[in-house]
Amino acid sequence: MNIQKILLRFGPKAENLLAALREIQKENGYIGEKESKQVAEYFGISEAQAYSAASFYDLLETGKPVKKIIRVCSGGVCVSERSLEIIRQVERMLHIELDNDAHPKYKLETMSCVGRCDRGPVMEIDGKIFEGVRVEMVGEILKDYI
Amino acid sequence: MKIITRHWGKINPLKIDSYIRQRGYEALQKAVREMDPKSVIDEVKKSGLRGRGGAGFPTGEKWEIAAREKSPEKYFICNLDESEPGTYKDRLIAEKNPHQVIEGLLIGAYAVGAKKAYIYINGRYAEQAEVLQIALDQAREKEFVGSGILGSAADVEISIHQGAGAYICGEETALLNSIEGKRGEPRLKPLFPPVSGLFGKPTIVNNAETLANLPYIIRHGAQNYAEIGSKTSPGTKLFLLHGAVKNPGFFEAPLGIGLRELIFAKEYGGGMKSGKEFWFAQAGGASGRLVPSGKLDQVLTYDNCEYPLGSGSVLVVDKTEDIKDYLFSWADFFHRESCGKCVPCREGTYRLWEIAKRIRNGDIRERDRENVEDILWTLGNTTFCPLGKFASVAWSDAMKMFPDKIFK
Amino acid sequence: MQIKINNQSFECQEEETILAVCKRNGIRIPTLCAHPDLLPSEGVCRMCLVETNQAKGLVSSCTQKICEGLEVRTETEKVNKARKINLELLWADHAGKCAFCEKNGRCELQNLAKEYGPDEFKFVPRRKELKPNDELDLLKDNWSHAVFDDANPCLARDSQYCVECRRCVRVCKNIQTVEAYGLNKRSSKTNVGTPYEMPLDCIFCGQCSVVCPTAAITEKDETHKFEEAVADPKKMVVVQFAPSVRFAFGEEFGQPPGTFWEGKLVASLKELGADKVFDTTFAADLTIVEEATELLLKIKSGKAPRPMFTSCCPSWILFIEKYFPEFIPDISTSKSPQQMLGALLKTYWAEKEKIHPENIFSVSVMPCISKKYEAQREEMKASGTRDVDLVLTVRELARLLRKKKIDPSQLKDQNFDPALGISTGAGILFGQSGGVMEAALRTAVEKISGKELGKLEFEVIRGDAEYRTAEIEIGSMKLKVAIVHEIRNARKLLEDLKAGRADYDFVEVMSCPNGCIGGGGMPQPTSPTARKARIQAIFTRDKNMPLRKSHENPAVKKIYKEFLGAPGSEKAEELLHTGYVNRKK
Repeated sequence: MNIQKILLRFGPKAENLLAALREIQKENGYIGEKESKQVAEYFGISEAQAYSAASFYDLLETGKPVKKIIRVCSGGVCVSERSLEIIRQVERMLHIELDNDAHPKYKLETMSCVGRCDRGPVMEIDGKIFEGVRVEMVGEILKDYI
Repeated sequence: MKIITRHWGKINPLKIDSYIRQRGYEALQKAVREMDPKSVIDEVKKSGLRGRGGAGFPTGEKWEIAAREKSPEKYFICNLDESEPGTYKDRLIAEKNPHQVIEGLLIGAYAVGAKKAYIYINGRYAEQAEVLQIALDQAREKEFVGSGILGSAADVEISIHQGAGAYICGEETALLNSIEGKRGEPRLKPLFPPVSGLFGKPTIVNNAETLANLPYIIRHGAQNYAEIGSKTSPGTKLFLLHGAVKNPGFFEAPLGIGLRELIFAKEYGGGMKSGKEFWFAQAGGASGRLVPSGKLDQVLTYDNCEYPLGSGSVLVVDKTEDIKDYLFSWADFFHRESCGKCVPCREGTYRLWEIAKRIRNGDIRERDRENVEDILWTLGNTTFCPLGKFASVAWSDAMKMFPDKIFK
Repeated sequence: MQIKINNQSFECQEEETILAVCKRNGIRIPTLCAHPDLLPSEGVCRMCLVETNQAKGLVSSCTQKICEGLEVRTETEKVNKARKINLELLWADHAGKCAFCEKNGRCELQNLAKEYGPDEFKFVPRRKELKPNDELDLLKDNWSHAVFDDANPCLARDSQYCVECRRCVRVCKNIQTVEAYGLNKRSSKTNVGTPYEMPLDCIFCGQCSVVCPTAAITEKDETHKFEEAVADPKKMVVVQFAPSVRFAFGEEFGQPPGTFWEGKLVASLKELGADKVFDTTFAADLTIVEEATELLLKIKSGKAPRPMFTSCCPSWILFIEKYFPEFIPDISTSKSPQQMLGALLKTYWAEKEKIHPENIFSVSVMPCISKKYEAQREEMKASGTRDVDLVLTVRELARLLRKKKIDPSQLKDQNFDPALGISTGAGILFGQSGGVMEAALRTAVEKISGKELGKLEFEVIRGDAEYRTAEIEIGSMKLKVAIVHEIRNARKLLEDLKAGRADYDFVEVMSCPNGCIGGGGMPQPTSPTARKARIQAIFTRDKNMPLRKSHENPAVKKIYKEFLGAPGSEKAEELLHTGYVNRKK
C-alpha cells in the first residue's frame, strides 16, 4: 500500500492527523513503524508524537494483527441482554479465556459500548459487528471465521 | 411536545429539501438576516437551554464568554462523540435528521463569531458520518454553509472529524487535543475552552442534542421554549430506556419528568416486563447512580438533584440479576477508557477491574472490601478530570445498597 | 497579595501556584511529577493535593494558582488519605526491588514511601518479575508492559520502575526538542517510551536521567568496570575528572550545592585504587589554545561569514550530526578536553613514563552522560586503542564510594598528579555555559591584540540568559559571538543562521541547562538553585586561581615544547583534532 498516496489526500495540518491515521488503518490494516515514520515526516511532527497518538485510540492498530480478535460488548445494556454469557460461550467453543493472550490464533476481549444498544448485545470479529447476538447464535457466527 | 424528534420519520435525512419543506433552515435565515449575533445569544440565554451532554451548563452563557473574546479566530464544535454506555441518542439525531444539528451548529457559530466549525463524531459512527457529510454537501449547495451564508456577511465552514475510539474524547478538552492530532487526554482547567480552546483559540463545544434544540428556539422564540419542561431545565430531552421494561427504546419527554413515569407510563417504558420485579435503575449510563425503588419519584433535571440524569440513558435492572455482572461491566469499561494520565485513575480503575474480575469468579479476599473503599474514595476525590469520579459512582452506590451481595 | 496557608499569612504574587508559595516558605508538600525545571506543572501524580476554601474537593497545588482570599491546608486527614492511597497504588505498580536498585536511598518514590508508609502488600504487584506463579493469571495482561532498553552506550531504561510522571517526556520535548520519548498506549497500559519501543536513539544528553524520580531511566552503570580494572595488577588506572565535577560531587554526600571538593575527589579516587589522578581542566586549557588558534586561522583566512562552533559537548555534536549535518564543516575540529587528555595519556605520558598504552586503563569522571558515547566514537583512538576506556558519571562515582563505604568528607585533601594536573581559571570556567567562550576570549584577545588583558572577566557574555550574544571589540576587529545552552536554544540559533537572521563568528553551545554544571550525569536533584550555586563556586574558584589564562598554563607550554610543537601542528592535528559524520536519517 502506498502510504504517501494516502497522505497526499490530506493537507499536512495537525487537524488532519487523526483522519490520515484512520485512512492508513483502513487501507493498510495497521499503522506500523514504517507507516508511522512516513506520517511523522509528512506532518512535520516527531515519531514519538505520531506513535503516542496512534497507540491511544482503540480503532488504530500499531502492529500487524496476527490473531483473530473477538470482542464482546461489556456495557451495562449488553450485560442486561446476556453478553457475559456470550463471552462464556466463546470461551467454551474456542477453548480460550477472556483477555488471555495464550492462544496462537484467537483472542477474546471485551469492548466498550459502540452505541448500538437498541440492537444489542453486540460482538465484533475482525472489525465486523454482529448485532442482537444470542448464545445459540455464537457457533454459527464463529464458524465463518474459524 | 416534540422538538428533537418532531421531523423524524417524516423527512428523508439524505434529502435537504424534505427538511426545508418542514420549514428547516428558516431559523438560520432568521438568525443571519434578522438578528445580530448578540441578540441570538440573548435569545438562547432567555430560553434557558442547558447543555445536553450531561453537565447541563447554560448554553447561552457559555456562548457569551466566547463571544466576548476578541480573537479573530474562533471555533465551534459539535460534540457527537457519544460513547457513554447505553447512550445512542446523538447517533439517532445524526441519522434521522442531520440537518437539524447542522442548522443548530451554524446558528451557534454565527452567534459567537466562529468561522470554522467541526462535527466531532464517534469513530464507530461511520454510517452516520456519511449521512452528515451528504447533508453538509447539500447545505453547502444551498449556501447555508460556506462564505456569505444566504447572502449575509456570515461565513461558517464545517468539517466532519471522526474520532478513533476513546471514551475520554467526549470530554471537551480531550476532544480538542484529539482534533489537534494529539492523545485525547483532558487539559488542565482553567483556561476553559470558550477562552482558550482549539489551537489556543476561543472555542465552544456543544453536544449535538443541545444544538438540535436551536432551530426551534430561534424560530419559536425563547419564551415559547422556556415554557416547556421544568422551570430551571427547560425543553425536552431524549431518553433511552433499557433493560427489564416492556418498551425499551428512545423517548422524547419534557425535562422534569419523573423517573417513575418514564419507566412505568404507557407512552414511555410501559412498566416492567411481565414476571420481572424492579430492583434498581441506573440513570446516566455507566457513570450514573443507582436509583432504588424508593427514589423513583426523583425528577430528571439538570439541577443539583440527588440522581443526575447524565446522558439520559436509563437502565432498569430486575431482581433476578447478579450485581457482580454489573460491577464487572462498570469496572471493565472505565479501566479500558481511563486515559492513563493521572495516577489514581490509571491505577485505581485497573485495581478495581482486577478485583471485579475476582469478585465475579467468587475469589474474594480478606482485604478486598477495604481496598475497594479506598480506591473508590481516591477515584471520587483526587483525579485530574471527572472520569475518575464517574468510575466510582455506580460502584459506591452498589457498595452502600447491597454490600452483602458483593462480598459473599 | 496575601494568602493563608495552615492559618498563617504569606505574601505572594499573582500567577504563583500554591506549591511555589509553599516551597518558598519551607512548607513541605510531596511531589513526584512537578519539577522546578519543568514549569508549568501538569498535575498528573496527584501527590501534591491540598484542601482550600475555594473548592469542594482536593486541588493539586502544583497547578492551582493563588487568588485573593485563598486559604490552604496542606495536612488534613483527607489530604493525607489521598497521598497514602495514591502512593499505595503507585507502589504496587512499581513494587521495587529497592535493595538491589541503583537508586536505593536516592529514589523519590522510596522517600515518599518512607514518609507516608504505604501498605506494601495492599495490591498485587503488577510488574513482571515480582510475581509468584499463582498470581500469573492476574498479571498476564501486563507481560508486555515491562520494557528494558540499554542498546546504547549511555542510558538504561527499565519501565518496571517508571511511575509515568512524564518528566523525561517533557524535558526531552520542551527543553531539548528531541522528543525521543512519548506517552504510549492508554489506560493502565500507558507507558512512557520510545515510538514502537525502538532502542533509544537520541543525543544522549541524559537530562531524562537527571529528572527521573526513580530508576526508570539511569546512566548505564559501569562501576564494575572500574572495580575490575583496579583489581587487575597489570593495569595502571589513571583517572581524570572534569572541571564542573568538583563543584557538585559533594552534594552526593550531603554537602550544599557549590561545595568545592577538588582535593577530596582526588583523595577519594586514590582511595578507590586509582594510580594517578589528572585534571581534565588541564586539557581544557589545551583545548582553548587549539581552538583559539583554529578560530584565528579561520578569521584570517577570510572564510567567514560562517561561524565556528565549539566542539566540547558531545550531545551538541550528535545533534548537528543527526539533525543539522549541513553545519558539520563549521564545528571546531578540536577534540573535547576529555578526549585530548585521553589521547595524551596513552601517547605523550605513556612514552614519558615508559608504560605500554595497553596497560593503561583510562577513566574519566564526568558530569555528563554522552561522554560515555564520545569515548566510544571510532575517531577517538589516537593511541591505537580507546583513549578513554571508561566514563563514569558523578552519580556512578558516588555510588561506588558508598558501596566501598568510603566517605570523602573523612579524607584528607590530596593534589593532582603534576604531569597532567596543572590548570588555570580559564579551564575551570568550562564547567558552565559561557565558560569556553570566556576562556577562548582571554586567549584570543591577547593573541590578536598582542597586549595583555586588564580585566579578565567578560561580563558582557556572563549571565544566565539561554541565548546570549555580544560583539567583542579587539583593536579594529569586531568579533560577533553567541552562547546558548539547552538544545531548544541551539535549534533556534541554527534556524536563525539558516534564515540569515543572524551571523556570528564564534558560537558556544552546551546541551544541558547552564552547561556542564547542569549535566546529565550530575547529582540529583539538579535544580535551578543548585545550578546557580555551582556556577557561583566556579566564578569564585576562577578568581582565586593564580593562573587564569589557558595559554599561560606552564604544563601546556611544556607539552608543546616537549611533544606537540606548536598549536595546530601536525602532531597536534593527529592527536588533538577530530572529524564528524553525517548521521541524518
